[in-house]
Amino acid sequence: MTANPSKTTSPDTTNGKGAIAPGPEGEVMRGARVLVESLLQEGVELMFGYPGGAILHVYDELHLQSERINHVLVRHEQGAVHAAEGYAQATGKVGVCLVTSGPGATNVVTGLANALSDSTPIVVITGQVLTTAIGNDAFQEADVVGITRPCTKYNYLVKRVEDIAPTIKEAFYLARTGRPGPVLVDLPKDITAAECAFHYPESVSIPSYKPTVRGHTRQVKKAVELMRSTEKTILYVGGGVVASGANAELKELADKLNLPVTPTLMGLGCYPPGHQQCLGMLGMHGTYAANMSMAEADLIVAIGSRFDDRVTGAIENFAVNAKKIHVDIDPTSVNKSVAVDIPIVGDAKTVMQQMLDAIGDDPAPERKEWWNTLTTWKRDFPLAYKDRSDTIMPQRLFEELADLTKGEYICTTDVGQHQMWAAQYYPADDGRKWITSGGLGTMGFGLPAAMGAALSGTKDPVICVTGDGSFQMCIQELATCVHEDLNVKIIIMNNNFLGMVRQWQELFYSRRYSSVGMKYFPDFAKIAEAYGATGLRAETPEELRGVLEKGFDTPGTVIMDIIVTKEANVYPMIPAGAAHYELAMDPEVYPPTTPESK
Amino acid sequence: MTEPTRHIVSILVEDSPGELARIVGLFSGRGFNIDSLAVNRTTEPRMSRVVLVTRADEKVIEQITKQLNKLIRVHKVIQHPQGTLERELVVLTLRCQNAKSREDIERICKLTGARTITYTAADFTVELTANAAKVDDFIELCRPLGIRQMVRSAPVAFGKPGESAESDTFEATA
Repeated sequence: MTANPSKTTSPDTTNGKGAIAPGPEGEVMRGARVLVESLLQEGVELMFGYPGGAILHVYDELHLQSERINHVLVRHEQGAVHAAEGYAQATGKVGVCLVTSGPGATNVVTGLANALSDSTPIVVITGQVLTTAIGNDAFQEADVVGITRPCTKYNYLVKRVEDIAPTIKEAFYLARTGRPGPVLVDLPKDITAAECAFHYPESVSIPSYKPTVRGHTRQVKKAVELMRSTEKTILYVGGGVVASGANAELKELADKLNLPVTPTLMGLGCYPPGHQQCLGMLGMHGTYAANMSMAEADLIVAIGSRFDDRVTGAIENFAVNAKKIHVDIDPTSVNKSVAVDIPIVGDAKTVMQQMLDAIGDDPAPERKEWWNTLTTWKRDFPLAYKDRSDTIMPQRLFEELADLTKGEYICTTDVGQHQMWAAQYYPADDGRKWITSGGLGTMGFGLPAAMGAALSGTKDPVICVTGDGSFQMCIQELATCVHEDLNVKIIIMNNNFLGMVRQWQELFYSRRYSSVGMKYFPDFAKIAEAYGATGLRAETPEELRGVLEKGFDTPGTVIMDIIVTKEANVYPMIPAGAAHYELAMDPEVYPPTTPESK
Repeated sequence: MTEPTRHIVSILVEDSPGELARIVGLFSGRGFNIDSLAVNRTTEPRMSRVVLVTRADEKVIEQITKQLNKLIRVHKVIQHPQGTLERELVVLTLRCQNAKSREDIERICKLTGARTITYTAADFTVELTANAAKVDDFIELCRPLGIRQMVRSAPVAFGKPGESAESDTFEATA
């Protein structure tokens, strides 16, 4: 018995591109070419990878087909997978990564886990030892489907050459539909050498996989009624809005219901950051207004967000008085950490359009009292810091960066203090221009992600904001940036510390700084030169603006090493396990009694 | 939060390499518990049924069924209601040195519906197919005789008696 094929057929056959020339249907070829032809059928123009023994046939084929498909050689497989993620996040297309067996494959595990956390559509192709050698502890053999099973949306071991084309078709379909995510295809060497007639399937049918796109009509109606009847209501929006390309629907929904919007770390840019209805990011290092509005709300409308622990704080004290509506394409996200009153499983864009249809031309609620409160919070407790003239404050760096770029360029980040300050200050004007490792918190993500973004077709420079700790985790990709002549502007917020860990040790471990001081740190400007990039450094506030301007005016890959004050802390901060209303403000700006606690 | 209770979950999954590992890995990876597990073919070709017993509160069992449904090759997940028809098999080898213990075994078998599979001069091997509670009781009845060996299967479960047992179809998952 099969399900209705119309429900399970891939809606499009390309990776976001226009018409694809038909493949050499019926032609007999080796598996390596079947793979390349299949990728071309999916609209793949570019992949990131690193060769090795088990994947040699495929690399040979890439050489033969180099006019038709591009391959970027990275310097470490982790760079390849993060580059594919950066490409996918910047374009909305499926990113592709190609590596060899054993260590090549294990080196992509971090990236797979990262893509799973952040719902990034990527397809990773790994070489594998000969089918006859699998299980025999062969050279560079690892049980890759076993290792990657819990950190992929799905994975495959291909055992027949005839299965390559349908597997690639299915892999791309799974990666980009429903809640997007990473899919891995393990290809034994003899399978890429074996021959078969090329046949690319036109559609995909997986009877047991049917993501719900359209929200339940009655639930949508109930949600709209509730949103219209409540006063202190807030839209809490995440990466799902970016993934479904629903900026316009979100804007209209916020307008039609007169609602404030707070984006998560993954949702930044999906709503105009400077808009008066935008409260800024919420969560552990979110704004006062955003976090207090969650604590005070009578209705929280979560769209494409998942009540992450960095957003909710202490779950038992989370928005206890608020009703919750939760729109998410992943049914497992609903009622997972927070019980919701109106669950709606569906795609963010589709469901918001359904909501807009249900609202029609009804006038927007006034919410006068609510807006009074919010406006007061925004006015009285903005993001603020005490600037200094003798040293560069990190917040100053990000303010200058925002002023210089206006949030118009793609910005990637690594993980730590610099990431939080960038999230607070960088006014990305689109969700696809803000690329960060949110769920997994992967240091080393930023530079390779910037490479992927720089190859996404943008004419603008791509900013990589990083720290002196994170940058050294994938520093080798500088070679790739220079090799490919990428327009990547690397801004190192250099405080000689693993700053976020140091901040926690300062606040919660009585300043016992355990393994966070970078006693030896390299001269990053000289490293830039050694790799053939441009290196600049700013050590004083007077130098800062000039270095940033010069960096953006210099073509190619540039490192701007910005020496900031050593022990600045990111505020506001909700300590782990505390509630929203317990958030701590910067004591230098807000004397400890100022934020009224409940 | 409710107290954890015993739940039987049936999973209809494509019979291909790695699919059982995905189910089991989901439980270990997310900290869910597996009390027992039974896997076999179904009337549909290339389709397996996994019958799994877990202990979970209401919130966790909701996550378990949702997470199972999310697995790409899982076609159907049934959370059986309490009191569902279930059967498991136990095979016991009991010491039997004299006429008295032979009589005891005979009486227990008659009472419970267990039957003798094989015997030697020194022991009797008996089997019982029943629900988990009955199997527990049976084991307790036999314990005084001296259990030399015990092998117990995981239960399989059906729908409610009288309800259609035809659940091997590719109906939409929740």
